[in-house]
Amino acid sequence: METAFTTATPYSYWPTAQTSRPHSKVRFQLSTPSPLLSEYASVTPTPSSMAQPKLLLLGRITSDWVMLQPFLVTLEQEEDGYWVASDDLFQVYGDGDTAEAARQDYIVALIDYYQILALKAEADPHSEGLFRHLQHYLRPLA
Amino acid sequence: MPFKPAEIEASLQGKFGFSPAEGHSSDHRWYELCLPGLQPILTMVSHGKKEIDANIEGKMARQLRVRAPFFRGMIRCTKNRDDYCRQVHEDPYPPFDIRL
Repeated sequence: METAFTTATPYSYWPTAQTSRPHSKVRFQLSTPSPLLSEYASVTPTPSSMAQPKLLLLGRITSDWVMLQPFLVTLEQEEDGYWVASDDLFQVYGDGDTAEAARQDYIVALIDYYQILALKAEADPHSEGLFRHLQHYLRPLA
Repeated sequence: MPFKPAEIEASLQGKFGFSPAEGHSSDHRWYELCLPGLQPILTMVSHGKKEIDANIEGKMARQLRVRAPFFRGMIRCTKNRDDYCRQVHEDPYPPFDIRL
């Protein structure tokens, strides 16, 4: 767990929300993270991010939760400018008016998912297995 | 025509036996269904917009382990619970690829 903290980068690449067309190329700029996320976020675009931006979550994602290993989240902008963040492993998604809002909503949804599975894991072996798998990526800071 | 969140929630609970998932703290609305021999099926209904557009519809379909056309059939009442159970057992999409 400590390794994840030390490898988290202190800066953030963030896609600009100024694209004129949905699903068009999204420009990335080295930027100062927003105040809300600046303490926790570690966001890095992957090489393929120009076609479909992917965010790499690692390290502290909120004041109470940490990503233990790199985790890819896809960002998509819809025709009306709305943003959706999602992953292909646990099928969790979040949405919002901006890329950052979608990312934050995604993180809340992922934590929801963890908490729901945590309760179910006690009684159901299938839930327990899924929960254990999720715990390889996400843990509360306790 | 896009579905409204309430329309999807009513269908999931009324026709397919999903129940509100407990244990989370945010204002997201999660629903769960446990089928024999399968991982729990959890889906979140977004309330960020008044209508669920095609993209989010696709995200929900994946959470339910079906393709988007099947999902639309579920909400439009052309698919029933038996159809759904058969589908996720025989051809889940995406597959339950986390081997437990």
